[in-house]
Amino acid sequence: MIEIHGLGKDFKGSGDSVVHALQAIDLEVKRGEFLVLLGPSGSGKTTLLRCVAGLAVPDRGEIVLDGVTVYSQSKRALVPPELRDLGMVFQSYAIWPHMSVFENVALPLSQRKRKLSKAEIGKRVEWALSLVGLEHMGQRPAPLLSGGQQQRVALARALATQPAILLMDEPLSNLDARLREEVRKEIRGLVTQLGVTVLYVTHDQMEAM
Amino acid sequence: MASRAGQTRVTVRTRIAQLGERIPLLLVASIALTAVLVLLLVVAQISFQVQDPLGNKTYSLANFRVLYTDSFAARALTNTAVFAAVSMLVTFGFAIPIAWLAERTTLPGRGLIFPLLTITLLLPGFFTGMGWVFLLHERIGIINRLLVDLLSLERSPLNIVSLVGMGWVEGIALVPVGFIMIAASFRAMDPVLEESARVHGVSFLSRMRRITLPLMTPGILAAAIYVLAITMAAFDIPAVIGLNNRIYTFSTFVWTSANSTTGAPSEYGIIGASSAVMLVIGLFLTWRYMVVLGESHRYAVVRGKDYRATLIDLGWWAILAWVLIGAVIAMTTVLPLLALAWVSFTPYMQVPSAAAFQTLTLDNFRAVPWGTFMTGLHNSAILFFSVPTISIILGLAISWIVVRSKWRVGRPFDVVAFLPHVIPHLIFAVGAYLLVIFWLPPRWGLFERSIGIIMIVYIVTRISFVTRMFNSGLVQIHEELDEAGYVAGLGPAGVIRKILAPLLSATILYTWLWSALLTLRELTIAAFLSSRDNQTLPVVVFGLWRDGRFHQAAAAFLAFIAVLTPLILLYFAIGRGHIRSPD
Repeated sequence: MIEIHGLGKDFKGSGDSVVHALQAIDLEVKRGEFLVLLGPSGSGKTTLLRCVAGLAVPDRGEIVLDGVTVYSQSKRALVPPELRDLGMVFQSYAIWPHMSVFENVALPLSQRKRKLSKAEIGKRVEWALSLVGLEHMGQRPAPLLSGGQQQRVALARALATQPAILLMDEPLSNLDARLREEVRKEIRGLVTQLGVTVLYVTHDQMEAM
Repeated sequence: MASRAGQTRVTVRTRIAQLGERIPLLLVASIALTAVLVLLLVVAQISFQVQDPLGNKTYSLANFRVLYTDSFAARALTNTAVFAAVSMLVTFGFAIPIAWLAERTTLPGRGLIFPLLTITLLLPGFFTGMGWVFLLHERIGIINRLLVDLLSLERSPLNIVSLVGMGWVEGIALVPVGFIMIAASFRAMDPVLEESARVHGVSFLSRMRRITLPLMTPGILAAAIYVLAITMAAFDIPAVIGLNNRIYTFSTFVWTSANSTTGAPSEYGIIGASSAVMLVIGLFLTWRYMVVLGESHRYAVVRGKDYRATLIDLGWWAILAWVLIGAVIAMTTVLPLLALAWVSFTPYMQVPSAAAFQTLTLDNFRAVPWGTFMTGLHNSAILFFSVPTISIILGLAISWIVVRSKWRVGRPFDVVAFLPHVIPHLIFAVGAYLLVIFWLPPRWGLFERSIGIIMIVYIVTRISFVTRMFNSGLVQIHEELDEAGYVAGLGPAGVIRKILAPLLSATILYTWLWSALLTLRELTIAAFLSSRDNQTLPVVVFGLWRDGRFHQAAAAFLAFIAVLTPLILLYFAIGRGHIRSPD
């Protein structure tokens, strides 16, 4: 489902120096697998995740998602993130503050290649919100949510389009310890239930287990 | 795994899709920034161009040599230096103390300082000049006449029609600009630095000298460079006070040359050359400005989250402080406005008295050429709506490329978009003027006389303000909000439309309103580029003044104020406490 070959990414350091953030990474995640990238901050795991999402452009190698080459240095191929058909949960959750919970979850659905009707979108949003236990929160404005609720909305938004691949960037780091444990179990249960392939980044060993 | 052929197809299709939304963005931004550069390059080109009577063009330094040897031109340039120096002194002599009062003391009602000074900024600058002529003209000035009677003097003690007088009026008119910029740098400096000195026993004056002023040097320098760039090419006040009395500065010299041309080719070369001199100074100032602003980061202080400065209690000194602020507001707005109102109702120049009140009349209002006035109003209304709207669309595209795109063009785009900030707007007007004469085919003559040419130069000169507002707005929006948009399937234009623009809506609204209001007060560019059919409202008033119809000019200005007042009130109603500096 996710195939990465010889991936490399450099950043300009101070002066003329170059930091090799990623070097010759080979990785394969099979359909339905849950892969955790664990490492200290600065080890390049978020960079790798952003390369898969298309938010960062690698310098070398190849990324194939669900059989489609989304990046290849040798074939000079680059698919922008908006065409990669992914779900992603950001570290800051990135809930759009000018929209309601419903609108946040509906936006990815409205951008599908196959246009969905309003009713269909509404049904899908309800379904996604019920997955995370927020079925009656649709009309709530996003800024009025607690941290835990924002996290759930971010997850619902990422799952609403039923993507084959879900990327998660430190999704639990902004939650307190008790909530973290609870949400961790929920995520685990959800992705197993939906059969989605997950690439998960964390620096926390507890989370990784 | 899909077949190889299938993959290639996907790649080609996605490449086009990927570029799809990026091309229009890049195109829109490039067109705007090309316009900035073209106007400046035309000035540079014509400054070197020498044309003989047969129309053969050669390129040499001849124009600059003429500029150097011609006493009239040289005089205008030295006049400009004196004028600019006087106005800088006046502006900052008032602006720095007032900014300190507003930001660092408990002065009662200090929240009013900002809106009161903003009003002045929104009124057309040339009105201050007109008002001060009525107040301090050697022969007819009301204050002069009163002083002569009161002190039984032989002759008028003051004369506004002089370089120092003009510099004084320009300086007074720019106090709000200086104030806003200095106040911003007071706000940016953490007061804990001043307080730690206070705790360690450093006296008030030493604190000012050793801590406050040195830390504010970059801010003050930046403000000084900005104000210098305005004054050295200021047109309104030198035109209103100096033109009728043959005292020329750079801007009025260029304007006169352009308006009195006999069509002799050499004259365009002189206009180009003197503008090129100003352009070089402007580029130098822009560079210094960027260096100064870059350095200011060195003074950045990590500050605690909810830190509040303890402000200085002025005690009874507060009265003196308000006298100072009141005097500035009186000089920038109230006195000139009263003088204009008085003159607009009087049949001839006279000092207010019981007898004079008997002669008040509406004749001046009847004599205003209302047809021309309405043409001006119509043109100004078109500019009022179009200029800010188009500027904002261009600004969003440019700012997105500069702040968000990570494309290599970001940095050069940023620099070019910044040029109109410090380079005098008059230079862009000269560029457009010369472009029409030398580059546009004659069948475009209609364009030259249309509102379109003024609109374009207005938009070009607005770009720096708009992009600076949006740049600082975008920096404050967490980038993961855009990224979540991309992952959701939006392209860059979609992200701008659905996520960034709504989040910036407050900034967009203030930027729109502020730009729209500045469009109404603008005289320099419009005076330079207007002919009979594309006059703006300020140009109409200025035209009456130029013709010596002072009473009608005053009356027309009052009518102009009547149009402007509701808009300014609207601005304050919407802008409540969110008014941003124009820098």
